Amino acid sequence: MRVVTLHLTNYRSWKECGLAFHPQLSIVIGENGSGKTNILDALYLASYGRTLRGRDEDAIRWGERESSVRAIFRSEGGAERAVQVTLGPEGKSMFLGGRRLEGRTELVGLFPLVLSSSDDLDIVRGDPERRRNFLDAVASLLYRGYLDTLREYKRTLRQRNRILLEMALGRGGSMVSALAAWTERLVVLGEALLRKRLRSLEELGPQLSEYYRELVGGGRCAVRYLSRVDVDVDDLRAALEKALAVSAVEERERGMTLVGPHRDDLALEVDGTDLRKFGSRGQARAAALALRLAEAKLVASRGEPPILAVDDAFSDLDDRRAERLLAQTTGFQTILTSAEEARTRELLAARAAHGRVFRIRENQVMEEVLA
Amino acid sequence: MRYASPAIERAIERLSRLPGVGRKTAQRLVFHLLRSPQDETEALVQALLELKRKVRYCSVCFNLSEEDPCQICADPQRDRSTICVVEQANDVVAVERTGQYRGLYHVLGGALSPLDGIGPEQLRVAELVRRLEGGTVREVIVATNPNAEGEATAVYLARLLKPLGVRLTRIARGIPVGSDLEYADEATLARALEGRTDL
Repeated sequence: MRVVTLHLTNYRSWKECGLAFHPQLSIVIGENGSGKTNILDALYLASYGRTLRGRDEDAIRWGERESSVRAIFRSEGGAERAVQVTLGPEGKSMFLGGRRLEGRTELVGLFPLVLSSSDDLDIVRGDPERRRNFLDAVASLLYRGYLDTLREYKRTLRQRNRILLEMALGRGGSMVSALAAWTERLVVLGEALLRKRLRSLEELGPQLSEYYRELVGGGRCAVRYLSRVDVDVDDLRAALEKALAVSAVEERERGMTLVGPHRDDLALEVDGTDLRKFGSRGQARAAALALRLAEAKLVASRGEPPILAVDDAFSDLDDRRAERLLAQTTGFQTILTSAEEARTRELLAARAAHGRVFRIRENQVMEEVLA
Repeated sequence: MRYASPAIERAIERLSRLPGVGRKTAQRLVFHLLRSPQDETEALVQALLELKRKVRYCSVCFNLSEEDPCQICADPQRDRSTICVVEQANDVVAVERTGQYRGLYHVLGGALSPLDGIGPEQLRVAELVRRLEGGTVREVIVATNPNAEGEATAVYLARLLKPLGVRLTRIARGIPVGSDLEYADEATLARALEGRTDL
C-alpha cells in the first residue's frame, strides 16, 4: 500500500498543507513544533479513522469550526482510492471514494499503516497495559475475530468482578450462585485469547530479534509471555482453571479477578537484560523500532505491505543505527520525520537514497527531490 | 421554548419520556397528531389503553399474550417435548418468523448481568425448572443472545439443568456477534437453530 497524496485543512497546527509522497522514501524535516508529527497524525487518521493523540475534536485547528484530512491511497495492483475524514461540531464523518462510512471499522485495515513514534518507548518501559495493547493489536491483525473475543472477555470480566466485589463486601445474594457460570465463560474466552496471543508471539519473536540485530548490529532481543497462568502446557484451559482456583480465596477478599489475560505482561530482553526496568534508552528505542518493524512484516505477510511511518526517526539512534534503520525500511513505502536537518541530509547522502524531502519552514512545505 | 397551550406542553412532556424520543421528536409527533383527524387520535389512545388492559404474561412460558395460557402454549399441534429458552418476548417473535420451530418457549425476562444486579432470582429460572419436573420435556434449546450475558446465562442453565436428564442444546453462533436476536434475519436465525449444539 502507498499513500500518494495527503491534504490537511485546519488540522491541528496546519491551515493548509498538501504533500505528494515519494513511492519509496519521504522525509519531513522541520524544527520541533513545526507540525511534522501533525502530518503523520493526519495520515494515521486517514488510515485508522481516529487521531493518534488525544480526542478527535481536539485536532480541529484553534478557532476553526471544521477540519478535514484527504488522502489518496494506491494498492499494489495500482487501484487508487480516496479517503476523507472531516471533524466538525457534529462529530466525525468518513468518506471512502465519496461513500459515507458507518464507522471506523469499515476503514481499518483497508490502508494499512504502521506508525512508530516516541510514545512507543512506553511499550518497552511503560505499564504492562501498553504491552498487552500492542500484542492485542498484533493478534487482531493475524486473527479475525480476536477483537470480538477480547471485547466479550472484558465484558465477562467486568461482570464476574462485580460478583466478586459483592462477595468481598459480604453481599451478592442470588448473583453468587451464578459465579461458576461466569468463571466458565471467562475460562473459555481467556483460553482463546491466550492461545492466539502465544501464536502471535511465536511469529513476532523471530522478526523482532532479527530487526533488533539489524538495527543495532548485534545483541539478542527476545520477547517472552509473562503470566500467573502456566502457559508452557498444551492444555491452556486446565492451566487457566488451575490458576483461578489457586487465587480463589484472594480474589474473593479483594473483589476482583487476579489471573488471566488481562493481568499478563511481556518481558522484552536484550542479552538477558529486562528492558522494562533496565537497559539504556538507546536499547529501548531500538527495541521499540524493532517491534514496529516486526509488526509491519507480519501485516505484509497477511496481505499488502503496510505504509511505514517513523516519527522523529533518528533521535536516540547513533549514525550507524540511523543508517541501518534506513536500510531496513526498503520493501515498505516509508515516511520519516526528523528535526535534525544537517544530520538527516548527511545520512541520506551517505546512502545515496532516492526519495523526496519536505522541508517545513514557517508553516510552508518546500519539496525537494533527492537525486 | 414553551408553548402557550398547557395541553401541548403536557403531550410533549409525556411523549418525550418514551425511550428514543427526545423533545424535538415529541414536538414533531404532537403537531402530527394535532393535524390528523380526530378518529385517528382516538384510535391511537384506544390502542394504547388496550395494551395495558389486555396484554399479560402467559403463566406457563411468560410470553406476552392476551390469553393465559398463550396461544403457543395452548396450541395442541405444538411439540411439548421441546422448550426454546429466550431472553425476551421479542425473541419469540424472531424465532417464530423462521417457521422452523414447532416446540414451546420459555421467556426468561432478561439475562444474567451482575452489573445490573441481575442474578438467577431476577430471571424466570425457577419457573423453567418446574416446567421440566413433569418429565414431558426432553430437550431444552437455549437461545439467549450471543453476547457476554447471553452466553453466561446459557452456561448457567446448562449447569443447572443437566442433572435433570434433559437434552440441552445451544443455538449456533450464526448470528453476528454483538447484535441482538431480535434483529437477526430469518435465514441466519434458521441456520443457527439448525446448527444448535449440545451444552
